Amino acid sequence: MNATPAQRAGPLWLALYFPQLPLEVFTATQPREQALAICEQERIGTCNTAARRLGVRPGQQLTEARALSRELIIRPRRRDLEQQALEGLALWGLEFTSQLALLADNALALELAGSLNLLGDLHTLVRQISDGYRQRGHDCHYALTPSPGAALLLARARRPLLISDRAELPRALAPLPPELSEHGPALRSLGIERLGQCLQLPRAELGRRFGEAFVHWLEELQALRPSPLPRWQAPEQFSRSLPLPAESDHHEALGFAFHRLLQELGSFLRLRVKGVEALTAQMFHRKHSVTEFTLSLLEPEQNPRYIMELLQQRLQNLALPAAVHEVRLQSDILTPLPSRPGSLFADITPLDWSRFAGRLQSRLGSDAIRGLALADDHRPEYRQRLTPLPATDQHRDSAELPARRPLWLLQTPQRLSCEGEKPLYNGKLQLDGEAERVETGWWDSHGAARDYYLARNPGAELLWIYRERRSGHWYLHGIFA
Amino acid sequence: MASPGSPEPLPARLPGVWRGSESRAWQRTLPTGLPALDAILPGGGWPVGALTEILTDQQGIGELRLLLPALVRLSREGRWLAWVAPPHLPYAPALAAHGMAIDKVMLLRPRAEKDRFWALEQALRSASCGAVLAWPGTADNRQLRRLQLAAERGSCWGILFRPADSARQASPAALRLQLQVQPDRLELTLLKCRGGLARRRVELELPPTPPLP
Repeated sequence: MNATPAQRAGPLWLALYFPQLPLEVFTATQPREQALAICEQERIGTCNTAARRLGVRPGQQLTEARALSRELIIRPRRRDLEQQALEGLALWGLEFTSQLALLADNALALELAGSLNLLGDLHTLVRQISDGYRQRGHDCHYALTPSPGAALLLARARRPLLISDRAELPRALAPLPPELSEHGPALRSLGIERLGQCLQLPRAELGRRFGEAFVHWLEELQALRPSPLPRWQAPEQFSRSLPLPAESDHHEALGFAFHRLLQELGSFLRLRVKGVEALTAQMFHRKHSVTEFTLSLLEPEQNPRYIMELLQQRLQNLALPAAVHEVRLQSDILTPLPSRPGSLFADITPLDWSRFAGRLQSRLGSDAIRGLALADDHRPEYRQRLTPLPATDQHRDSAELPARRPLWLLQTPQRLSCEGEKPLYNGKLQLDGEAERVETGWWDSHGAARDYYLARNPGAELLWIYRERRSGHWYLHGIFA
Repeated sequence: MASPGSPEPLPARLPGVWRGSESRAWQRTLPTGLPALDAILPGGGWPVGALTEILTDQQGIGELRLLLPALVRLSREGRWLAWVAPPHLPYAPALAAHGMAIDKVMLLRPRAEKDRFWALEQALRSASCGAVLAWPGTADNRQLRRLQLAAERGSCWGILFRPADSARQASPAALRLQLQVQPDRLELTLLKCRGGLARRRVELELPPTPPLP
């Protein structure tokens, strides 16, 4: 084919047809050797190679297929999952063109004429796209013509033609059986066995018989009339479900399924140049209400491997009420990704720290990770605060730091026993220097004045103790470590 | 005896010549801020990318002040200091008075025992922390090896506080220090010192507490 710019004045539509999608939405998590068939209205629709080996055929009665083998798994067709999967495929298609449409029965149309100058020659581009879908595990058939309808018919007929000149269309379409189109039955009733026959019929005649819409369809097929296709817009949020091959409550099986979904999420985020800040993982049980948890990230995240690590940790700590038959992943908060300026410390970028902290948080819970901050309060235990990390307030305390403070503070002062007047802690304590009076104030319930001392025990441990003036009791409050 | 034709064996120690076995000495060190200690440590400081064990049964003898100059320096360079399951709260006013950037302090206080070890390993290997201080209680040799590997991978100064009787247990740590207290002084014994001489002793004057104004 010789695609010079002059010939490419009009659009060029690449139709991509995914005949195995009803099967593929299940096989993502299924071992290849497992015989699997999809049924619709009591008949087998599609089946995999392992099922064919057992004698299963499309169109077969369900009861007949069931009788063939106990090994065979039969699933009812899930058009909702197919739609989700097709949108995932469409999203990847947006890498090549912004003019993209979803077609009926698991097919896509991509307009490529506008992308050719950017993306190189047609053959390479089409191969790149179709190989890409195959590498993602999809059976993919394609054709490219100036008419999206003709491209779809050729793709469904598994004729991978690339046609840029509409004059070649009638010849390419001529041998196709009419059943490939939605007008199959009508054409058959006319005695038409190949599309070529009806392309030769006078259009006025056809119009009188089948209506104007039919004539338009024929003209669109030959690119004599533009095809209005609604441009597909990528959804704002990510939401995908995946059925498990068998009901399971094993973390590995769930992890495997979520791993698949996270890869989808990863390409969703890359294509939308966004990071996810919160997402919800759901696990569906047959007889229980859904188990779900939300994963919050410290910052917008795009890397599925990292999210997987967090998710895995949550899964490990999860108590499931029953086996799971389907999982779902949904993004809750997406944020456009900021550009990341390079850091001077290549090995310790702030990003790495956030990831590290995020990993800790998801396993330990956020209250197990704390930072320290000074507070404006003269009472020793309120002079510092434990803060969430990363610290949100940059409040720097200007008040002068008190002298003689220990490096360790006991979370609750420890009451000391006494021998006569002398407090004890691993032996008798020798008080060191003068008392420091701390008024703790009448305004709170802890109110009472304290006299603080440095004290040393026979083991030469240096301690910070106080005597509560009201009660006369001694307490250990800190350790000069 | 050297066989004919083979090179003569090197004398045990040539001045200024490092033997192959010694080249496994610490790759990077962090000055301790205590000249007497730097003088006896190979590379002149705390080993980075390795474990340091502090063995003592006492508290309040200067066991933290010993580390403080190096910790302060790391915090001021913007490196995180992770404290994993400390026995008490590190007290910010005192740390700040010693010059530490307290917004670089990260307290990890997992409730479950197994989470403590996990968090410690994560902190060591993360490459996010300049130093990790931990109080792991008992740890067997296999666990210690994991921690030593994690510290190597994260180029982290890992400090483990362990009871004095751990001295009898073998350890992969690069440095093991036993602490004994004398009034106003701290006596350190190098139980093990990879790439240096063990069983050396040093008496240290620690940074005063409270810090001088």
